[in-house]
Amino acid sequence: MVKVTLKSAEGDVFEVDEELALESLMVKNMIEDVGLDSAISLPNVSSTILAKVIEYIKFHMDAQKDGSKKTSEEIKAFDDDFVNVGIPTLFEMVLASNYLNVKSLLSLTCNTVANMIKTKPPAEVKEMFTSAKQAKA
Amino acid sequence: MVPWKINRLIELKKSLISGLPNDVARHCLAKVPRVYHRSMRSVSTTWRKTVESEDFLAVRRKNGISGLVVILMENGHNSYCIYNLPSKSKAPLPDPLPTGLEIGGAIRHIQDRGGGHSPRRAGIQDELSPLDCGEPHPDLRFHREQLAADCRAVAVRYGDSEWELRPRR
Repeated sequence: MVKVTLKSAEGDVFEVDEELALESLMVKNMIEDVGLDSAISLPNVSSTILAKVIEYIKFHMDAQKDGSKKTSEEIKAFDDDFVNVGIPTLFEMVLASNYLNVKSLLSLTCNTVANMIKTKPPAEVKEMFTSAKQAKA
Repeated sequence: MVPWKINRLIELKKSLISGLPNDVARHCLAKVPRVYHRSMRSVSTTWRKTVESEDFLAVRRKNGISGLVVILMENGHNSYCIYNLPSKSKAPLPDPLPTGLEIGGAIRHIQDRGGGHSPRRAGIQDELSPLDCGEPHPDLRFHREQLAADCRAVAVRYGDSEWELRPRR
């Protein structure tokens, strides 16, 4: 299996299967441009978030494989747990999936934000999403 | 300049969601079902302007978010129909079926009849309009009473979200 080396903002190195790396359209384009020889630098993604993104893609790739015993409930439980994080982390994941162009994760994280908007009264939404306090958090 | 005007200008310059670039934030907002748009409008001037903008509708359409499928259950005929609003065509059976809905009898698809406004189709549009519509259909005459007599439940799905079952009465 061909490996791809990804380098996070902090300079940490993640070695992943090429198949997994190609799930990010941004990385896919980079590989097409520069090849597999050098590490792919992702200055906009922190190590913590990159590890999460890799975990997410890996889980869903395994779940889609033939012979996978994962039920749709288990997949849903994984997704729910995956986005059950604080707003700052959630936003970092939104940004990372947008930057890396991982459609499924962008959809999941944006849906999570949308769910927060729809389940909270306007005043609370304002407090959560538009106050300056939140930006610094 | 009067103070409220200055406040307003400041608010307009603000980002939609602090911490996210506006294009991404707009994408998140666009995923909120239309039924919540009224309360979203009262969050801030920026949000109101966004929700009301043509641009926003375009984002929703482009992402198929306003593309929902509705199932209408009828008491009398023991049947239900499926209608895909944005494509104005009959839709395949959703899989899995939304919980709470059971296939009771014959399944009838509703066809788009172009200019012809069959009461039943109009009824569905009417049911949809308060929930979510890609675009308004001002040319349709509504038959709410007729629908109310037949309809037991409507299941709605926004984009790739989960099915929501909305029982009637």
